This record gives sequence, structure tokens and C-alpha cells, in this order.
Amino acid sequence: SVVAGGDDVGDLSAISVGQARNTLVLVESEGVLESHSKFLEMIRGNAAKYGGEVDVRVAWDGGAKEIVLSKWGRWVYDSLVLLAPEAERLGGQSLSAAVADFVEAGHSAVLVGSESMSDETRKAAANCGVQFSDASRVADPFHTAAFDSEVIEASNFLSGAGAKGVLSARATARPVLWRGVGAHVAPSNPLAFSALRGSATAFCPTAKGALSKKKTNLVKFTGTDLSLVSLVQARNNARVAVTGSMAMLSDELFAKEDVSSNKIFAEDVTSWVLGYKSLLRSHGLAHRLTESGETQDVYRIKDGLSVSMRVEEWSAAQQRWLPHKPAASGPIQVELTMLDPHLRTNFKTDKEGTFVADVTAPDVYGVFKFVVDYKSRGYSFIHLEEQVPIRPFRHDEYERFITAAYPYYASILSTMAAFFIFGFAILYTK
Amino acid sequence: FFLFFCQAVFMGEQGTISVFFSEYNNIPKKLRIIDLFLLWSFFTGVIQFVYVCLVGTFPFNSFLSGFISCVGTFVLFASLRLQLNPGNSFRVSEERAFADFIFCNFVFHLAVFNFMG
Repeated sequence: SVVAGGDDVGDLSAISVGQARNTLVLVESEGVLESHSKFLEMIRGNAAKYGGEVDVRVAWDGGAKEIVLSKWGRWVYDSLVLLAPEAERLGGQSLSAAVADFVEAGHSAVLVGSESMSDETRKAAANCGVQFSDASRVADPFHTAAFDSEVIEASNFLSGAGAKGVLSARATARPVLWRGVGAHVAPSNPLAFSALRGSATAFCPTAKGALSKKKTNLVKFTGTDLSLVSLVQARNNARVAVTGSMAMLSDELFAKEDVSSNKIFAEDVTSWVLGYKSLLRSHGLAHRLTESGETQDVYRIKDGLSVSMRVEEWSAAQQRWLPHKPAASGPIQVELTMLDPHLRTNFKTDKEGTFVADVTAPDVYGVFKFVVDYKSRGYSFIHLEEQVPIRPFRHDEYERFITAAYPYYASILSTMAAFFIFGFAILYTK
Repeated sequence: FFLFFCQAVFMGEQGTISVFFSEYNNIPKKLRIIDLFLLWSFFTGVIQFVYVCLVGTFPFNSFLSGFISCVGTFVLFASLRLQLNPGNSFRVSEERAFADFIFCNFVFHLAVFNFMG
């Protein structure tokens, strides 16, 4: 099911996204079932609350052969949680191809790597825009956990306007305990971002424990460029979370609730990926004349136009679509474009959540379109377009009796009167 | 030479200006009436031109039609005066001249009024 905005097809499938999501959790071995029991319990609990079934399977001999992701052209599962860093094949395909197909179909995935992860897992993450570093554990000598020297405390969370859609305040209150392989998200990538970065003193040590001298490592896998938990929202609104730490989700680190926020952070990120929050759908980009309320095929220059749209946000708690409030995600803008935007304005919220904007058609005629292109970090992308031709004035729609032209009218009328009087004058004088 | 010229024009009984003023009242009455209307359309045109210089050319077509109405009627009056002047060699009958004048003015004002907008 694809979470896209705008047309009726998107409308129907967006409904199914919010409803029951069937999740496949693939674990490495049965040991993982025990060491990550609280995480699995959280996924099962959320699915029970918000609808959906969770299918936990164990991948054995690097295979997971009998798992089928799509049957007869229909997807069996809506989301995927991979706790199997060493898996190489899934559902008869290589893991990277299976995950790529899955995400391209609009489904969400959580990819977890480790120090011994397979090349397929690296490739799957790279397909999503997240590049793992070589297999060395991230070290941060200044932020090591007290109880275990290999675990680092990471508190460089995603912040700013985009954070509210993904992380709650409680998740960022305490550091996250983390141990694993770091990754890098290219800063020029508009779709991928980092939910948890390394601190300025984090690095990926060489075998001897020193800072690597390779330029790639220095540029990408050091300091705040190191991404510990990366999130991607694809253009079809599929969400992927990638992290290099199985330990972050383990019971051992979940248990340390007094010093860390692992459990809350994991719950926030998983809820975001599985579509329980910050999910938007939009439909009904309509336009009409402001005064008469009539929708026409063709408008005229300098007409007052009203554009309206409905944007709704899925509320997992209430299991229905509620009108979206743009306070958290930023104002939504609409543009009137013909090759370049001629107008751009913010929507105002009506009662009952309809977004309305009043614009005046510009003094240029041509074929325009109303475009809503909303890319707010953490929320679904909205892209709607509606074509609107605008015609020039008809010959009888121009201004008449312009005040500035009264002298000219007076002169013409006086000249005509003068001619008339002259006629009499010249005929009746001798 | 310049002094001589000024003296010839302005001074004395035989200067050009004084001859002009004394002889003017001798020309036929009809032509004097036409001269009056010529002056009228000229000054109306001047007023409009000053107005457009001050205010700007916003309804440009209105300015054009107003100005052209003055210029055009000036031309039509002047051509009627030419045709009615007894000293000229080409002469048509007075009625013919006047009928031409009426027709041309009719067409002219029709065009001007439509262009005014």
C-alpha cells in the first residue's frame, strides 16, 4: 500500500496504511528472541493496540528461504523489521533486492546491522542512502557508559523543526546507549536524515585502536558526520530506519532506564517507521472563485480565487484520520506556477481542518497550475497539482470611465459640441 | 541685421505686427469665426498635453483619442478655411466645402469616440 497524496487511488490505499499493518520480524537466531524480548514485546503490543499482526521468524542457515514477502502479486506483509544482520537471502531473492522491492512498493522497513553484518545488509542500507562504515565498532572515549567500556552514550539527537514529528521530548531527555557500527548519511540527500548522531569525539578506530588515516573515514565516519541511527523517507512516503547496533535494542540496555532512554527512543523510531504517527494524507485540491464560489474551467486575470485542500493526520490512538494541525510541522504553502511560481502563499486552516488560501489571479494569462509541494522533515510528503488556465480580459471587461481620463472625455465631448455649434454659426452668418 | 529685422516687424505703422492687427478685421466674417474655433481646439490640445505631462499616460488610448480629437478638428477647420478663402485658386463651391467638412467630421468623431475606451 502506497502512502501517496492526492488522487483517489492514493486515498483508498492511504486508508489501508493506517489500518492493520502486518509486520514481519526476522531475527537472526533463537537467541535473539530472548535477548531482544522487550523490543519484540513492544512491537507486538503496538500491533495489538493499533491493529495488525506480527510474524516473528527465525532466519536459519543464512537463508530465510521459506518466508514469502509477496504472493500472487499481493504483498503479504506491510512492514519489515530485520534483526538479522548476517542474513543474505530473503524470500527467494537476495536480501538487498528484496528490501529494495519492498521499499519501492511503499512499505516500511527497519534494518539493523552489526559488526559481523553481511554484505547484503550493507547493500540494502546503501540502497536506502545510508552507508555503513567498515566493520569496526564506534568508539567515543569521552562518552563511554560506566558499566561497559564498549557502549557509548549518544545524546546528539535530531533537533530543530523536523524533530517533533519523529522523536518525543522524553526520548531526547536522556542519552541512548549504543554499541555497533556507524553509518553516514550524505548531507546532500534530501530524503535521509540522522535521528542520532555521534558526538564530536566519536570515531571508528582501526584494528590498533587509532584514528583511521583514510580520508573517506575521516570525512564520513568521524564526529558528528557519523550517523548512529538513520531515517529515510522515500518519495513514495515509505519509511526506513537503519542502525548499526543490535545492542541498542537489546533487553540489557533497555533495562537501564534510569540512565538511558533506549526504550522510549526505540519506541518512537519504530512507531514513526511503522506509520503510527506523523502520517499525512491529502486530497481534494479544489479551486473556485471567491465571490461566487463557482468552480470554472477557465479563470480570468485578476479574478479572486480560493484554493482549498484537506490534509489529515493518522491518529493511531483513535484509529482514524484527524484534521492535521500544521503548528508542529510548519505552514503548508500553495503556489500558482507557470514555468516559475507567480504566487506563493500559506494556507490558513478553516474549522474542521480544511486548508484554504485566497489569492488573486496574476496579471499574466496562460496555463497555470496550483502546486502543493510539502516536504516537512518527519512528515509524509504531499505533492498535489491542479491545472488552471487563466484568460485575458474580454473586450467588454476592461475598465470604463477611468477617473484619470475625465479630462480627455471632456475634451472630446467639447470638441464635438464645438463642431455642432460651429455648424450653426457658419450656416447662419452672412 | 537683427536690429533692422526687429524694427521692421515690431515698430512703426508699417511694421508687420501692426499691419496684421489693422488688416485682420477686414477679412470675411466666416473666416474669422473659423479662426476662433481654430484657437479653441488649439488651446484644448495644449491643456491636454500639459495634463498628460503632469499625470502620466495611464489610459494611453484615452489620451491619444482626446489629443487627436483636438488636432484633427484643428486640421479639419483649417482645411475648411483654406477652401473658403476667396484668395485661393482652387475653389469648390461653398456648399461642397461645407458638406465635405461635415462628412469628415462625422467619420472622425466616430473613430475618436470609439477609441476613447
